[in-house]
Amino acid sequence: MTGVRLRGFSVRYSSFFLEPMDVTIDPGERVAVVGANGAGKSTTLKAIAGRLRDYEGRVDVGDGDIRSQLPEIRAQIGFLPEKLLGLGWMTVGEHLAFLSAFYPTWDHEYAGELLERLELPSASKVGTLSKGMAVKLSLVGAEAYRPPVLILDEPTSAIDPVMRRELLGIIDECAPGGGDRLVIFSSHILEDVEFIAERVILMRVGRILDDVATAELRERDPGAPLSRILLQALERS
Amino acid sequence: MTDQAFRALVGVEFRRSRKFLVGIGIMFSVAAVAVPVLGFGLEGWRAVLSVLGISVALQVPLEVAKDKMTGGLELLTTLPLRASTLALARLTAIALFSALSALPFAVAAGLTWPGIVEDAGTVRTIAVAFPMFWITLSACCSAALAIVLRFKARTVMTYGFFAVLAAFFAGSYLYDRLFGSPLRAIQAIMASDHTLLIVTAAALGASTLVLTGSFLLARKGLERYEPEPDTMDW
Repeated sequence: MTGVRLRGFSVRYSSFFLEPMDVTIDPGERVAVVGANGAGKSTTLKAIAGRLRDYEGRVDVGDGDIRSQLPEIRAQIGFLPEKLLGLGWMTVGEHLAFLSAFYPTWDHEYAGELLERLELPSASKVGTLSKGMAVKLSLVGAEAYRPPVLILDEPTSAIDPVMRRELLGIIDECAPGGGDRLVIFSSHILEDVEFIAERVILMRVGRILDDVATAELRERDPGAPLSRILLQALERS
Repeated sequence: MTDQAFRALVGVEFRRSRKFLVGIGIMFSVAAVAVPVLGFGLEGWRAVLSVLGISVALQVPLEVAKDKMTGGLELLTTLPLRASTLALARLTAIALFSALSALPFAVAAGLTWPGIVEDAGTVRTIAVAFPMFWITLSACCSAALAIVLRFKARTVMTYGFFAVLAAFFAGSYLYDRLFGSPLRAIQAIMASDHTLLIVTAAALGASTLVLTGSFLLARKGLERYEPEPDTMDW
């Protein structure tokens, strides 16, 4: 069972400062990181995914500090970045075949199913994929080895409503709440948060405003949709 | 790291370099034909065409080398593998495509030189030693890549260019002052009974040293690699 802990995690760039934060996310949790552009969501997710080197504090994934366990720990983390990382001259099939060589738990059959559900043609070149298609391919690449930690950076921002529903359905199925996998995702689409998350971390300009269970948020305004409560919280901040 | 993963990595590195391979093959093939033609004074227009050919052929690999510096690294450095493995795979791919890119040169040289250069031993010596030297050069590129990863690419490449020029001229001058003209040393080696042995041993020694240095540098560079903060999306 792999959990995530941030202890005094902070980042300082010339034009951006992420204040020190302490967050613990347990296996089975599905956590949404919500905030306006520039809040620090992507930076935080990148650090948890082991894609950020220069930061202060400590990020533990599983039993130890992620910096001391890289690169092995990467096999336990599936990361869907905002921008697909791939080699443009490869086809979708080649891209996945290449990735599969590095993950002992890669499930080819499962990857094929995901491709089919997301209507991704395996003969398409990675470099010619639209933004939405690239997101789908990133999801297949992040999920096909069923990592205990799944991190999704704005997974639904570039895809159409029908496919968005399909993609959310896949996330819901592959990491059901209360299971042994944890999901952390960022999104601007508050309906997605309502659909998937059981806990929300609200961020604004480099600091955490609130870290609260969605059930508790709902109690603040009984009967109102969660998306409206979240929007109000963001507006108040 | 499994064998399968390592092979996949070498394959990708090799394919990433395929344009580079073609460019280098063309460049040295043109040089293999043009240099003797220029050196043995045929008509002026042929010489001009040869120079143009060399210029174009040089441009291709340089352009591709620029892409090679950073393209695809973001993906590779996010995989669950050590920087040492990535550096080793990169150098293995370099050695492979270096050996292959030497083939067109050897063919071109084999077709052109025997008719112009009378000493068959010299032709053979250069043709055999060439792949070794080319691997050394490629390893130098890999070392440059490692440095570029850690610092601003443009700055390093500018300083690197002048440093290489300065080292070449300073080295030549120093050698001249200490031991006399380097040309005489080269002539002496060519005239030796053990030319092939000397050149091959020197190339192997230099290749081993530079490859080892490149591996260490590339590993360090890859350990430190990450996109510059100002290119990140917050």
